Parts: sequence; structure tokens; C-alpha cells
Amino acid sequence: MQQVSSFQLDVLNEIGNIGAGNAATALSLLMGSPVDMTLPWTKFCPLEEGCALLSRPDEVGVGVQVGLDGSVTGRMLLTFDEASALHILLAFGDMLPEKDLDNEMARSALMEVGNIVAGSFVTALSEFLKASAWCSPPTLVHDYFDAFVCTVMVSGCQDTDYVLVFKTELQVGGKVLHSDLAFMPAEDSFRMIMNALGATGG
Amino acid sequence: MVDDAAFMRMMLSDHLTKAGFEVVGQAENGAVAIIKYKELRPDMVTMDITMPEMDGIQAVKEIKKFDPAARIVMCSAMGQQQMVMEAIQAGARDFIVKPFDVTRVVQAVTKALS
Repeated sequence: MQQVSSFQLDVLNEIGNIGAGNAATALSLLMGSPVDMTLPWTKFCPLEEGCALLSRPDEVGVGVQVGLDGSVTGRMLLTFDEASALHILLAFGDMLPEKDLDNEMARSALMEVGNIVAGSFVTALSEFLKASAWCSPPTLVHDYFDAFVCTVMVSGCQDTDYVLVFKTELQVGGKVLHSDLAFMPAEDSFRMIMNALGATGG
Repeated sequence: MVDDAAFMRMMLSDHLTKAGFEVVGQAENGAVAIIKYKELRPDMVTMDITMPEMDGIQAVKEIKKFDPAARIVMCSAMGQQQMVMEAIQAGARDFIVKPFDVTRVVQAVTKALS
């Protein structure tokens, strides 16, 4: 089993903090109102544990999935519970006339939020790795968490059995929204991350 | 206006319309962008980079083959500097970073049209 030291986890957490800060700035611009994003914790864990962390039995949620291309590859999944997703839509105000999760424009807005969050974390990670990476067009799913979380994560972990999970808190419109971001790296990217963490010491 | 995200097309269209420009067409990927360009012959194009079917860089190359004078401004996301450079080398005139800052958008479009 792959272990990371507490120092290495601190490094990953710091990468996450940078990603969260960039995401908050970008989301504030997108939504036209202040957005803050913090990172209560980061985990580098086996896939099974990652699935359990993101799954919420009997709850409906929204997942935005992006692929990573370039020198760092893999897949990312950002999840919100349904109420949080609806609150994000509300925060768009007049920019978004329909705030229904089945509405095409509303889903597109949420995908863009997911794209920005994932892209911000990808940029922070790729800068740490001194590599280039970018996100492929996002896809969105609105269903029970159990129906999509593990499927997405397992298919994203084709080569490795480890996931990087960031627990995030988004402050939007005076409310704190909880969301999770999981990164399933491809095998060569997993090795790149472990080598870079090894080089930072700990 | 080319972007796979309907919401981003709506936002950009709103910014540009309020600034006095007329949006004459939209496309959700590079392949449709080429078809629409040939049909509409717009004064300029805003082009997203990562899209399904055909990405923005390939679309720039194809449009420039058809019309070397085509004016194209790339819409890039964070971390896409290398792709922006590729697009500029392919003939794009400028780039704007998403999410859009209205002032920068209007500035880039005005400059591209001048």
C-alpha cells in the first residue's frame, strides 16, 4: 500500500489551497459576486476509501467530471449535494433565468463551475510538477451519489488504485457549501506525483 | 462565437451585445464553427480551445486556410498558455481568459476588429 508522510500530505494540501484560491477568484468573476473556497482536508488514499468518502448513501447529488490531458493525465470528479448545486445556480442571479437542474443552461453553468474548480486544481498541480495539463470538456451527472460516484472513480482509476481527495468548502452568497474533488491519476502521472513528493522530502 | 459551453456563449454574447456588437452566429465545436464561418463570413470569431469533435486550434487552422484574413480571438481557460501560443501561431489575433472580464473582452474584440 502506498503511503504518504504527513509532510508529503502537507505539500498536497498546499497544492490544494493554491487551487482553491485560484478557483475562488475565478468563480467570483464568473458569478459576479464574492466566492471563497477553503480546504478542510486532503487525503491520498486507496480507491475504495475514496469512493466511500465521496459517496452519500440515499442522497441525490451533482457530479462534474473532466479528463486531464497533457503531461499529467487522469480524471477529476467534483461533487455537490443537490441543495448546494441549486444554491450555486441561485447565486448566478439574473445571469441565469432558469435555475432548474434539468435545464440545459443551468447544467451548462454548473459544468462551467466544475470546469473552473477542476482547472484551478489542475493548474496548481501541474505547476508543482513543472508539467503542462489541461481539462477536457466537462460532463455532468445529476443522480443518486451511489449511482455515479464509484462508477466514475473506478473507471478513472484504470491504471492505479489511488485517489487524491480534496474536501472543499465554497462560500457562496453567504452560505457554506460542501463539495468533494477527487483526482484519479493515470499510472505515469501517479508516478510523477510520487517522485515529486519524494523529491520534496519528508 | 464558438464554445462547447452554452452558458459561456450566453455570457459572452451578453457582454458583447451590451457593448454594441452584433452576434451573428454560435457554434458548439470547431467543426460547426468552420461550417458557420463559411456560411456567415463574420467580421470576427471568438474561439474556445478545448471542445469535443474539433478543438479551437484546429478550427483556427482550417478557417485561416479558407480565409487568411479571418479575425479570431481565442478564449482560454487557466493553464492553457501553451495552447494559446499554438493558436496565435496558427493565426489567432489575441486571447481572452475565462471567466471573462468585460473590459478585457471588449478591448480584445475592438482591437481585433480595428
